[in-house]
Amino acid sequence: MVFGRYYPVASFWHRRDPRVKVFVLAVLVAMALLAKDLWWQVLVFAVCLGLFLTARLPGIWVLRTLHSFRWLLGLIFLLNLFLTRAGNPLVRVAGFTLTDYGLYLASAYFFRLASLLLGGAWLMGTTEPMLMVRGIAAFLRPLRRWLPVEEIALVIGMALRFFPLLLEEAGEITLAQRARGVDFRRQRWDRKIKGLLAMVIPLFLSVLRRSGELTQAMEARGFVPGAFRTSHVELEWERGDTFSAGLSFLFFLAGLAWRWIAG
Amino acid sequence: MALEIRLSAVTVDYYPGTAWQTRALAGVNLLVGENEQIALLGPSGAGKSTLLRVMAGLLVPGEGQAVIPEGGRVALALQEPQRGFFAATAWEEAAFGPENLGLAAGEVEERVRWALGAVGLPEEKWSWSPFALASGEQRRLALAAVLAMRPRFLLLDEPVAGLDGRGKRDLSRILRELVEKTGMTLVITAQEADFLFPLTRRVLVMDRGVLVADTSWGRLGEDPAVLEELGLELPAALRLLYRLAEKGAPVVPGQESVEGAMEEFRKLLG
Repeated sequence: MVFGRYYPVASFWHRRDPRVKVFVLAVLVAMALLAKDLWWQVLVFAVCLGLFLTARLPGIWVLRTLHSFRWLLGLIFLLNLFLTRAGNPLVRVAGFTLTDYGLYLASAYFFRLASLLLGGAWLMGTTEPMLMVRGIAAFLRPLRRWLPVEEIALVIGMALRFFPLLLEEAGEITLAQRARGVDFRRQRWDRKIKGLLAMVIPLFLSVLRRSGELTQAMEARGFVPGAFRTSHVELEWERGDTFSAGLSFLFFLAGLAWRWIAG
Repeated sequence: MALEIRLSAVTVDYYPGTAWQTRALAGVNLLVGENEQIALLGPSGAGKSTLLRVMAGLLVPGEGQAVIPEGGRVALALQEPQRGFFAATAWEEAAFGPENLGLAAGEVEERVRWALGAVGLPEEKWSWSPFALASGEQRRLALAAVLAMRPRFLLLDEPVAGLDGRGKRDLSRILRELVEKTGMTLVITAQEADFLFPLTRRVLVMDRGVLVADTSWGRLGEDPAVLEELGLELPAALRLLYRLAEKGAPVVPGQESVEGAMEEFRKLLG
């Protein structure tokens, strides 16, 4: 599982201000959600792919990310394919009439979801969690009067940060139980269920223990919810940031125009 | 046929093909037979845990070959083994391993009874929740959980980390009794040479993924520069013997066992 992990290499996108990257992703999400057009979805997907590869993230991650979510992607594709009535009939399968429009919609939804996944992986792969917190907080700022914006951003950041740790912990526990003879390939289903319990319960306990420890560690270091905090990393806006933000904005306008023209 | 663990030119990389790629083991050759007691030394990050995982068949080497006896005959207790607890009672926790081996109920019961007895967990606590036990007892239960598989090779990764003095003495006694009664092979990693010295004969030293020495306690002290470089310490008894020899006392410092070292002290004191 590689989804959601920070990938420590040097690239144009790794150097970008986190606020810009959150903005870029926000534009991509908006573009993916606004348009129904298949070719537009393919274009958005291509842009995500381009971002991914120019960030020097391993190309194999594209496949792994899609593979991790294969059930969701597959389900959405099939539901759209089978349940769309409009369009010209193509074939009949198990009592369902598949239409060309169904295929068109199913493909569009597939690319839409794939873009969202890839975009998310791109942001998390190029941005360290604590910087991402700053980026997200910057966008939530206008809501500060009504919501504990800094805390929300911190919680998101910590969740992201702990996700890979959690996976590692799960790996360790799996190993510990395999050392005690759990073998999912060879065992009967009743043993498999017990084996599954032997993984889930320790993992659950470990999450509770970890969060308790984290709370204490933060309090021991003087964390007060809602207090004013400064950061010891100053974000610096560079020319590349202006360039990226500007390009995203143009892309956004182009998307709106397309939607307006295409109706 | 005698059982053995045979590793030839074993290389292990974590996260191969990514920016995190790290070499944990580089070309390790090792043969471990029955009834051997082995100390595995080395600074943290040297690859000791990885080596134990390969020896237990939990990790398949990227290159090279690992030939390992099958069917629960090699058992590994990972660091902080109590983290894997999940069952409702200590008994069930210990029964999990042998049940996974597909043994009959009677055989499972016999093994669990033996294992819980061997680690000295009081019988009235066999029906307790594993989480209700004191931390020293949890460690012993975790050991029982692997012992119940009746391994011929018992691999222990940092078994004394976090144990108090009494816990260490108890564990040492339990392991010595096991070796005496069963002739089990032990491979133990620990930072405390004093814990390992009475339990082991053969000494393996690892550094940055390489097995740099396959030796014994007696010969380990011959090259102080290497020990210094790796930040390893000899057992206190051997350190004292070397100091005495340095000052001109008539002792033979490179002793292979606690008994040998004690004999030297006895001779010296007349």
